[in-house]
Amino acid sequence: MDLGFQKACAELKRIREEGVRDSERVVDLWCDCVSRYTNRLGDEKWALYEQVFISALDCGRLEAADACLVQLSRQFPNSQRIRRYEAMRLEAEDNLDAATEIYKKMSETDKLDSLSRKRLVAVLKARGRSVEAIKELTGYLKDFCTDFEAWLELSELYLNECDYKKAAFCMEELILSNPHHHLYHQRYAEIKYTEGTTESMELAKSYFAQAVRLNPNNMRALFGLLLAAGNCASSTNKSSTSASRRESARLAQWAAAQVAERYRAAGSKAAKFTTTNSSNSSDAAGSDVATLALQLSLCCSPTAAAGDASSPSQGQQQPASNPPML
Amino acid sequence: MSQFLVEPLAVAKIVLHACKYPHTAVNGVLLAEKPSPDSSNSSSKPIVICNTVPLFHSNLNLAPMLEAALMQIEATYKNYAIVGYYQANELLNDASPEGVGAHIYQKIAENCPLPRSLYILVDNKAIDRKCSTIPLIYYQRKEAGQSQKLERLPNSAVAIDDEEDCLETLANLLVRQAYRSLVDFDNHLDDIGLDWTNSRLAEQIRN
Repeated sequence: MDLGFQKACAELKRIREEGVRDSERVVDLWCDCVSRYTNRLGDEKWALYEQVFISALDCGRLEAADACLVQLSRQFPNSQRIRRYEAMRLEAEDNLDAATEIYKKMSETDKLDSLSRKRLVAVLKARGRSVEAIKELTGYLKDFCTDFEAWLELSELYLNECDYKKAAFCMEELILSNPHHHLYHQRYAEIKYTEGTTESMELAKSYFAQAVRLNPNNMRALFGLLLAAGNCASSTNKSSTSASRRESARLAQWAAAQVAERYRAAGSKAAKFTTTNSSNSSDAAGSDVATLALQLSLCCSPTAAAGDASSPSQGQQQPASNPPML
Repeated sequence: MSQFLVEPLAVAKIVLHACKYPHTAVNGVLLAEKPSPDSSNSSSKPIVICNTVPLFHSNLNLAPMLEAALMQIEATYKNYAIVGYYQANELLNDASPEGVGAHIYQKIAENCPLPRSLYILVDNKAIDRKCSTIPLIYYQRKEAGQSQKLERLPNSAVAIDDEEDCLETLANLLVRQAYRSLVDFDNHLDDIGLDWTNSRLAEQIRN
């Protein structure tokens, strides 16, 4: 049991530090292995109570949540943080009006209370009032313009409303503040790709390429580059020259080779550690994707050179020769 | 005579996908066997939905990964056709099939090689561990005309193969938290070693 307690604490700490949302696991670990031995917890006790409280609210285990809240309230009376947790408890019971009251009072009392204002946005989202949630969040961002989590959330709210231009604008703010973050480039490229115009497809291609440059193992960026470059290569728009189409076709072939290489590597790893069935399926899937990726890229190539795209060594040499993207 | 017959594997994968990500919308496609070229009277027999592919649990309305996924599905499941779409909405009380899901479904329906296609919406409120009912709602696009609107199908239009057994299997899967081992396309893109065809899970469900 002692070993179970330590392992459980280590796993809870890992989940806490990585910011993973695995609420059911947290509450199960707490209830099965940790809750009876809280006297053994050191300084991390209160961080753990908070973590379990929020996870318990997330999966509707209100008794566990209440047990944690009681301990936290005793230890930190008159705390604004605990007050906010009480409001979140009301949210979990679907008592959104009462929760909103508390958040509004808290944000009026303390203008720097960013978390209560964000909870107000969350409540509006829970009510399905996305337009009001967007308005509230844009107001928040005027005061707290460096809150990256909020910009990302706003981008998602705009995407839900299919407002791609504004969603892209939010990602632009994020890229400006974090130009080396490959995920922001990739998400921006996905939004531009979805917009579907010729200009936006060219932009998508550039930003997918930049994401790949920042993280060569980003599969979404590689697939995106393959598709976007493929679309640019077969564009019938007057503004695209044959030189730019050839360049796009080259990029698509390179991306296809990269994808194929990743799948081959994954297929061989899978063959070592898994049973015959699943290794067969991932091998088969891998080789199918590799074939398909190469076929796609070959369709884009005006010269349709069959041999060029298939050698991984060419793929590895090519990054240096990629044209500047931005 | 029902228009569709959904097999337990398909039902299980849809519900497990929704349970794996209760805090976000999820979607996926429905698969049925391609009809053989010499089959006659195919429009009168129910279409058998034998499997699903869970796709995404984030950013359902972005196109590139959807296109990549559909490419891979067509390459892998050569003897099967994509005959429909399923979605579980983010909010508990949201039972609307409209929005980006309807848009994706329309594209699938236009390209479906079989005479009919299906949109399955997960009834979030009806999911519970006891599994007393199949928590799914069915829609289809209106056949004639340009209307593009979705109409709700009565439950009689869609039969579940061996429904009681299916519910029992589903209850067992939920208790065992089998959804933790389900792999959707988003998971696969994060780690391409993960098997998005979920062949192991399918074996477990069939036994």
